[in-house]
Amino acid sequence: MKKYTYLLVVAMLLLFAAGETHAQVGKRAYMNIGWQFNGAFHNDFVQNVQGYGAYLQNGYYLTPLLAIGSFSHFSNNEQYLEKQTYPLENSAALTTDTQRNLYQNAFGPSLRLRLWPLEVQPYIEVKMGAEYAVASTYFSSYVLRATSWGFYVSPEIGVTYYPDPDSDAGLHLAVYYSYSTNTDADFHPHGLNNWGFKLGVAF
Amino acid sequence: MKKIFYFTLGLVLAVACEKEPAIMDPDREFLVYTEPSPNFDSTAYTSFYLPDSILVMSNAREPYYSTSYYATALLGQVRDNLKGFGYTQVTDPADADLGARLIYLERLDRYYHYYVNPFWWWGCPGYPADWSPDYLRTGSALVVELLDMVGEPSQPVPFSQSLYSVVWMAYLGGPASTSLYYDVLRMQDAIDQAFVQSPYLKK
Repeated sequence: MKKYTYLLVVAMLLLFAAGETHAQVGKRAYMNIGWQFNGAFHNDFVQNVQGYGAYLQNGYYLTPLLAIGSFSHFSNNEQYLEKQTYPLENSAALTTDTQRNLYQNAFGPSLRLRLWPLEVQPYIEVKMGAEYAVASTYFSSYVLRATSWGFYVSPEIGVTYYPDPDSDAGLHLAVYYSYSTNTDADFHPHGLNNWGFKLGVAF
Repeated sequence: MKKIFYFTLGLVLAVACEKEPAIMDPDREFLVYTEPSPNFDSTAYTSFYLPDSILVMSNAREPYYSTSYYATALLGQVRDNLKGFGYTQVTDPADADLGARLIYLERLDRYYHYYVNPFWWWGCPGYPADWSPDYLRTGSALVVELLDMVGEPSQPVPFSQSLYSVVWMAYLGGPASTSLYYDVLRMQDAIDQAFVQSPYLKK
């Protein structure tokens, strides 16, 4: 009897894993691509929300609801600072206006759980990976750059909508929070925090 | 599906570049950097000597001394500020405690520019681009130095080959405009700023 119970459990698991998993109705693979509007906060370099970014994420449903995948995105957050006088060592001083730009590029694996494989598919996703960040300060004809690498983690909730069951194309909308361990002693000593939303297409 | 994937992947790679601001100074004002020599003491000086010309140095022509209207305007601005700080102008260098020296630096740069892409996406790999020099940019700077002319000449100073040591310097620089008249006006403002941010010069 025990043997039959085990067989039944294994058979159910296999069925669960082998279900029809089109992205909209049955496909297993999915891809989202689009525009990323990123907000940078909790740092001393740039604190604003701007839309100079894009994202690409894709994955494969191992079961009808659970997918593994990968992601890559970038964002730019710019901030202009009016003319200021900066006191330096030995009574030296520098007066200039500055333009700051925080460029972030993150990539790595992801894990997605959708609530149901229907036309409208809400999901939650966790991303982990690496982030490359460049904090550039432009003043007059000069630029100072501070580059850093860090560990990246981001929870995301979103929804994909496939209006036509016979088509691969759909819409994608998501909101996210991210934290990376990229540090800079002067401007972001405790890492980089971001939030934002993504708007794009889904295949 | 595969075609769409590679197309979108290429698209993301093509735009995943850092955003660069235009080569321009947003507030159109020159950067001002000032620095005194260590242990500078304004009480050691009461008078100053101002020459009737400024040295013009450029990467496009031989150095020369200028007594033009613009040179006189810049010299006058330094004179007014030194007088405002409590120093007395003398006409004989032998009677002066301080000597002012002005050097106008001009640099002509040849820039390479994309014709077909927004120029702030520089650095992206794989862009088909028409590389050719398409515009010239001039950067200009004014260096103002105060020389210690009290007693015997001290240690030689590199670059200028002066027998007098520099006790204070100001660097005023940035992208030049197409109008020298306008640039000189901006430099006069920058000279004022150089003195404002050097209160230790006051008598």
